[in-house]
Amino acid sequence: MSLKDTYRQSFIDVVEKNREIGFVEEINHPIVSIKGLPRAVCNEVVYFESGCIGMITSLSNRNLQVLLFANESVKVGEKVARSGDVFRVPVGEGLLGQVITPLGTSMYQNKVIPGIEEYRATDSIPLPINLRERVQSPLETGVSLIDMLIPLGKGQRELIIGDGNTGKTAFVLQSILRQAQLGTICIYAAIAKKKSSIKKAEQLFERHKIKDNTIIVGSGSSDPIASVYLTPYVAMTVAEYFRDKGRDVLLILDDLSTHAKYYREISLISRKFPGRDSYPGDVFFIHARLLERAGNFNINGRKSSITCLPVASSIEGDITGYIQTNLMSITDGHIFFDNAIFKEGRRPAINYFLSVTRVGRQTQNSIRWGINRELSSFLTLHNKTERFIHFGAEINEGIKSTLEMGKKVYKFLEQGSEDVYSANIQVILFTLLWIGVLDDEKIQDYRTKAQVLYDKDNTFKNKIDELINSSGDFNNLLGKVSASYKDLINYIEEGSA
Amino acid sequence: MKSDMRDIKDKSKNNNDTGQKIFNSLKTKSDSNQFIRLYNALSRYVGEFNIDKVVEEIFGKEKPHWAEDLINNVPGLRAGILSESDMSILNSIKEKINNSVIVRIEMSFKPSDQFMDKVINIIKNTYNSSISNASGENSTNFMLDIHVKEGFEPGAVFYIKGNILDLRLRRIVTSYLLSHNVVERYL
Repeated sequence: MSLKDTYRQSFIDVVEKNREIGFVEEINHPIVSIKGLPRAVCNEVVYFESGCIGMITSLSNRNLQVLLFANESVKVGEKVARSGDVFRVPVGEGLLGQVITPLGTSMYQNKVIPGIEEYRATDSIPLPINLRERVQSPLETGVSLIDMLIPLGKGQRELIIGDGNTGKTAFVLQSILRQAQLGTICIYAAIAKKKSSIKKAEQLFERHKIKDNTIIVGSGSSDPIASVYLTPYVAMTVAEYFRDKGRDVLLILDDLSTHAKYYREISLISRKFPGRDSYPGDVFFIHARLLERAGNFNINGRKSSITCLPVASSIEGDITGYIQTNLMSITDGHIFFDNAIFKEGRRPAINYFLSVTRVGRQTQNSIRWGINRELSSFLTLHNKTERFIHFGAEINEGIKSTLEMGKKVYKFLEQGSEDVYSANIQVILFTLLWIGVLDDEKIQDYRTKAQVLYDKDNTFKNKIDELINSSGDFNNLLGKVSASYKDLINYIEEGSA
Repeated sequence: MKSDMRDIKDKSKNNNDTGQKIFNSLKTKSDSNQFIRLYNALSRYVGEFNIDKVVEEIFGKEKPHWAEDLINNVPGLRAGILSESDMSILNSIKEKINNSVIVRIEMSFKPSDQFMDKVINIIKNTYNSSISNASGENSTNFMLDIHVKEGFEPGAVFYIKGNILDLRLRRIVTSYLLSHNVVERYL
């Protein structure tokens, strides 16, 4: 039975059940005006006689408006029946490893998703404050620049902002790689993406053998507008299912500026009053109520979190756009991907000086806090020095060493789009760099070798973990590593040989 | 002055009554659509017109059943020039059409005029008495939207303001047979 036949049958069933009917009066695809259905409520699903479904978006005493979930249109005069229920998506453990549409079906044709446990409303109310907790555990992204300088915490909402093609999606996929390796449930909501991009993300997860911990909720740019609009809500609903099971979830919403554009389209067709940049008045609210559902939770003693990384595109590096600033004020900080840095060839192209993390630093232990402090003040100094030498000033030894160290640090912070490093490897390698025993050519090589060794050699792993755990703070660690760096380097070289 | 006002009021009441009388002869949605077509055609005439020609132009040889009633009750139509009072009658009919509640009926045969009159009267009386009891609202006009469907089961299905009243015989007989009463009395 095709999906259309199922909906046709549902139409017959709900007419029998509710004894109510409406008739299509006017069509402005995807918005359909309907007369009838006297007891309809907002967000209720309606079935059309032709086998389409839609969702009621507004009610008035004259008619009601329905958002159609199909590309093909319905006919004027066609019968419509209300389901008596709001829009719900199927959720369950069976979703892990799947690529689903916002309607909860597989993106692959004729593929049935097993392991569905319940149907959840997509527009749920965010949990109250008595079930929430302060963000307190760190969230590793596997990207050194983020983990050391702009750290994130579990339950944080951090905006990823930047121009197109500056590596935003590459970064969020890297974060998924690292978190999925650590056992977190990762949900990637691809909003109006190319089907090939969705496939690429799926192949990346397959290649790194993390597919079983990931779910892709995707809508293509040619999909019905309603599907695109629903994508982040459905992804959040799936995330909430795993949160209620006591799991930590990383949710990527890629991207919300596109989502806002689609919502603007729906609103203009619905004849809602346009506001700034023609966006409707409730564009802030639709994103705020979505992101408010993320956070760090303690539900009856069971701890879980939804960390949300919404992505937003900027134009010409302007982060003061309407939607961008809305999202900045909703989230707990932002990471700015700078086109200028991207053109310089630095990866990831993150502008540390324009990025903010409001709650991430409170999750760091004393060692990482120490590294953050040292590195931040050094980068500020390096930045000042670089600007200073532009004036053609004479370069003394101090300036020379700052520039030299800066070169090493930036080399250390450079990373490939599929390379992820565990936090302890980042700490040890940075310490080796800070004490001056690694030169900039060897940094990348050593880090890769150390990570491979860390993953497969338990002795090495225990040694590193012990070294870090036994050090009270960064200075203490510096002392210990200075005393034993030869052993460490030998071990890495021999182990990887 | 007072008598002038009374005259205006009486005139407007008379026009409204005439409008209601003509409206009552427009029983179905298709009748109303035909009336609106005639109304639109008449509003395009600036000078005199011949109503028979206009009616023929729009509907062909087959005159709608309500056309004679309309022509007899609106004097200006026969004269070929519409006065203000004639226009107010036509406007009141148009307004009644716009404000009427459509009752969609699906059935297997074309119903007779008497059947339609009865249906409208039953609905109108029941509905208006319940509304006037509840809120004292003015009486509501109803219009039938008949859909004749071949192969439809005997009986009819009514759609009134989004509610369904399924009066198909099979359904009624089945529910009667399944009722507790039948089981107790006959089995």
